[in-house]
Amino acid sequence: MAVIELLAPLEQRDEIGAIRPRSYYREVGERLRGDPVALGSLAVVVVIFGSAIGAPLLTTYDPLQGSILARLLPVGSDSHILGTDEQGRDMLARLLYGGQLSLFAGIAPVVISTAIGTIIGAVAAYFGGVVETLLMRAMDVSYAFPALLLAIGIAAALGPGLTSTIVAITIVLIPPVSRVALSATRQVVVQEYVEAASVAGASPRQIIQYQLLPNIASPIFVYTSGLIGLAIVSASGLSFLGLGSAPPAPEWGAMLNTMRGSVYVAPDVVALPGLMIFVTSVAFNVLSDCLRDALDVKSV
Amino acid sequence: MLGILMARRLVAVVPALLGVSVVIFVMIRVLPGDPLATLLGAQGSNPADRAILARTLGFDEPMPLQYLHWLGRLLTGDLGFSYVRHYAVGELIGAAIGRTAVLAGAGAVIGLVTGIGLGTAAAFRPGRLLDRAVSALAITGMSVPSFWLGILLIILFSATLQWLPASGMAELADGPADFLAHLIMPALANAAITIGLTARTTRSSLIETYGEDFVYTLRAKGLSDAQILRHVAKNAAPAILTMIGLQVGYLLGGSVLVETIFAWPGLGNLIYTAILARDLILIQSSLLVIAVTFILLNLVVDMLQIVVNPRVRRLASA
Amino acid sequence: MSARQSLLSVRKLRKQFPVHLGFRRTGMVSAVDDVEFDVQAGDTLGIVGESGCGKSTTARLILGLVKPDAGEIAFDSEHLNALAGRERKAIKRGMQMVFQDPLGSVNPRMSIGENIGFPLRVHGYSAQQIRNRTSQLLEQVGLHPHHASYFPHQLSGGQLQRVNTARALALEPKLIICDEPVSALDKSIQAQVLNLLLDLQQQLGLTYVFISHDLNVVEYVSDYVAVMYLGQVVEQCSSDELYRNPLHPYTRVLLSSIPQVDPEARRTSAPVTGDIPSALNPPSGCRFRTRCPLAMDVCAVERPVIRHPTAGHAVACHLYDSDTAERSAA
Repeated sequence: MAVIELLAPLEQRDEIGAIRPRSYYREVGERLRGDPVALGSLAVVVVIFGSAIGAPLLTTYDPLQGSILARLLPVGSDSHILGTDEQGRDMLARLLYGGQLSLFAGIAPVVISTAIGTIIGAVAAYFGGVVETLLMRAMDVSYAFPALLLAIGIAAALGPGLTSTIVAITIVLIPPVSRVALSATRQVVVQEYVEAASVAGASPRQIIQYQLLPNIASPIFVYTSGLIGLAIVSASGLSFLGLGSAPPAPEWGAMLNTMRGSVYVAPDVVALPGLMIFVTSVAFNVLSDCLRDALDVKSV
Repeated sequence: MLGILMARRLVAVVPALLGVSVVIFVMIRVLPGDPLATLLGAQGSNPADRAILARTLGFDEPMPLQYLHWLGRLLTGDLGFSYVRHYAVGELIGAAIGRTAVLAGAGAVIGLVTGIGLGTAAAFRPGRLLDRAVSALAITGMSVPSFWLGILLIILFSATLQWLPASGMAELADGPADFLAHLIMPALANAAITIGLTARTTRSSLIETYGEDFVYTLRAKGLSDAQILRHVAKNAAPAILTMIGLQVGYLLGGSVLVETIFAWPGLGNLIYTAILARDLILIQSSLLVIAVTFILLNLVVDMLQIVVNPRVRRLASA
Repeated sequence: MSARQSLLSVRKLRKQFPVHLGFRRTGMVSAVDDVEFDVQAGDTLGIVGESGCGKSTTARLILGLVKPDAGEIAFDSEHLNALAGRERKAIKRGMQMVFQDPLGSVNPRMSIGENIGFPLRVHGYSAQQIRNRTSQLLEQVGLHPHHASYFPHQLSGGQLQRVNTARALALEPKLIICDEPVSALDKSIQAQVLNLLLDLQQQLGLTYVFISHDLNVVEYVSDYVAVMYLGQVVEQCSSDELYRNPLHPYTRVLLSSIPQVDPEARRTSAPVTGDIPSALNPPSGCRFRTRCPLAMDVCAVERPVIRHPTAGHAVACHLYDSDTAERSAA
C-alpha cells in the first residue's frame, strides 16, 4: 500500500522531506528558553544549589567552629566577607553549608509527598467507590488543621531533628497532592485509550503505571514544583521554633533563632539567613510559575 | 435547597471535630519518653506522686476509655491542668486566645484589604507597570518567611528608627496609640503572605470575569463602569471567598511564628513555650482549641459560599 | 442462524444503569434489554441504531469492559461467564476493538509505536518482538514503520484510525468490534478507512461487529445487520434483505431518511411522529409505538417477541404475529 500523508500538521521536514517527530517536552523547553524571567530564576536556583553543594570548595572556614573573640563582626569585615555570628563562626560558611540542610529539608518532603500522594490519588480515582471514599476521607482529616500547626504538632510529637521536620512536612503535603492527582486522574481515566488498554488485557497496575501516570505527570509536576518554595520556608520555620536541626547545625531558620537576641548589635548579620530563605523561596516560586505558564498553553 | 445544603454542611462538622480530637489524642500519646516524668518535671521521681498522677490522669486505663474520659472532660469545659505552669489550661488558653484573635484579625484586615485593593488596581491595567509591580509584590509576599519579615521590621523600626516597640502587647485600655504601636509590626509580618495571595487571586479572578461575555452585554446595554464593577465583583467573589477561607488557616498557623518573634502573649506563643517545656497537656489542649476554631471558621466561610455562590448549589443538585 | 458453530454468540444480554440526582437514585435505564445475535467466523455483523440505543453498551458488554446483569456470551465455543482469571484473559485476546474518537483513543504521551505495541507489552513479549511486530502492523494498515516514533498530535484523524486498527490487530484477534470507527472522520477519509478494514478482513480472515448510526456505512461493510432501538434488537437479517425487504417500521424510517438519522434534531419528517421517548421511562409494550405510524392497540399492552416471517429474517413487531399476519405491511 502507498504511504498516505494527508493533512498531518507540518512541524518540521528533515532532509528527505519526511516529518520529524517532536517531543512535547522539547517544545516546552523552547518556550522556557525564550522567557528571561524563567531563565533568571533558573539561574538563581542553580547558583544556590551549586553553592550549597560546592560549599567545601568555596570556603575554608569551619561552619561549626568559631572564635568568641571574633563574634558578631559586621558584613564586609576583612577576614569574614559576610561577618560572623554570635559565636564567632564565619557567616558565609554557615550559610553555604546551611544551604545543604535547608534545601534538603525543603525538597525531600516535596519529592516524597509527590510520590505517595500521586499513588493515593491515582488509585482512588481509578478504583472509585469504596476505595476512593476511604482514601480521600483519610486525607481529609488533615484539612481540619491549619497546615503549619499540623506540622508543628507532628514535629513536636516526633522530637526535634531534621528527620522530624521532613516527616512532618511530608505528611502535611500528601493530602493536597493526592487531591490534585485524584482530579487529574479522573479526567484521564474516562478517555478511550484507557478503555483500549483494558481491552488489550492490561491489569489495573499496568493501566495505572503506563496509561494514567504519564498523563497526570504534567499537572502534578506543575503543582508540586510550586510547593518547593513553601516547603523550604516551612522547614526553616520549624527549625526556627527549635523543632528542626538542632544547633550548632547551620540551618538557616535555626540561625535566625539563635541570633535573634543580637538584632540591635549586628542587624546586618542577623538578617542574612532569612535573606537566603527568602531568595531561595522566591526563585523557586517564580520558576514554578513560569513552568506553569509554559506547560499550560500546550496542555489541551 | 439552600437550607438542606447548609444543614448538611453543619452536620459534617461533627465527624471533623471527632476526627481532630482522636488525632490529637493519639499524637500526644505517641510521644516517646515517659509522659509522667515529663509532666511532673523536676519533682517527678517520687513514686507516690507518680501513682497519684497516674490515677488522676487515668493512665492505668485502656486507651479507648482514656479517650472517652478526656472527651467527656472537654465537653464540660475542663481542658486540664498544666503541671509545668501550675495553672488551669482553660484559663491560660482563654486569656491567650483573645490576644491571638486580635493579631490574626489585624493581619486579616490588613492583608485582605491591601490584597484586594492591589489586585483590583492591577486588574484594571493588565500588562502595564502597575500590574507587573503588583505581581512582583505578590510573589514577594508569598515567598517571604514571616519570621524573617518580623525581624526585618524590628531592625528597621525598633533598632534603627526607634519608632516602635519590638515586643509585647499593649491592651486597648492602655491607650489606642500604644495598642497600635505594639500591634502594627506583628500584624504586618503576619499579613505579608495574605497580601500576596489575595492580590494574585483577586487580580486573576477579576481579569477572568471581565473577559466573560456577559460584560460585553452589560456594556452594550450602556451600564457605567461602576455598575459593571458591581456585577463583576459579584461573579469574582466566590474565588476570593475561597482564598479568604484558606488564609484563615494560614493566619492561625502562622501566628506561632510571629508571636514568638514579637513576644506576643497569644496562643501561638503559648504553644511554643509549651513545646519547649514539653508541657504535654497544654500542647494538647492548645492544638485542640486552634483546630476547633479553624473548623468553625471554615464552617462560616463555607456557609457564606453556599449563600453567595450559585455554582455550589448547582453542583450539589447535578 | 446456521449449522456452523458461531464465533460469537450472545443470548439474553441485559444491562441496566442507575440514574442519580444528587445522591439519590431516581431510576434505572435499561440500556441493553434481551439482546441476542450470532456472528459467524469471517462475517461482518452491522449493528445500527440512533444514539442511546445501546449499541456501544452492547460492545462493551461483549468485551468485558462492563459487567452484564444477565445473559450469556459465548466466544469461540467458550462461555465467557464461566471463565475467570488467566483463562479469561487468554480467550479475550481474540476479541479487540477499534474506537470511535481517533485522538482520544490513543495515549497522547506515548509514541505511535508504543501505543500499538502496548497490548504486546501487556502480554509479555520482548522489546525486539514488539518492535518487529509494530513495523509489520504499521505497514499492514498503510502507514510507514518510521511513523512509530511519531506522536499522536502529529497525525491526522484518518492516520490515527489506522493506528487504532493496527493496535487492534496486534494480538492477532479473531473478532474485532468497531465502534463507530469512521463517524469522526471526513467523508473522503471514511471510504479509505472502510476499505482498509475490508481489505484486512479478507487478508487475515477477521470477523467484525460493526457499530454505526450511519446506514450507508453499515450497508457498505456488513453481511448481516441488527437494528437496535432503545436497548432492544428490533430486526435482524442479511444486509441485502434489509435493504430489499425491511419489515420493522423503524427500519423503514431509518432507510427513508437521507442521509442519516440524527436523533438530536427533532425531525418530524413523515412517517415518524413524536420525539424519542425517555430511556428512563420507556413506553409500555413495544417501545417504538409512540412514533410508529402503524401502531395497533396490542402494541401498548404486549412487548413484541422475535418472530421469523421468512427464513433468516428476525423481527420484533406485532405486525408479524401469526394472528395478525393478514395485516402485514406492503
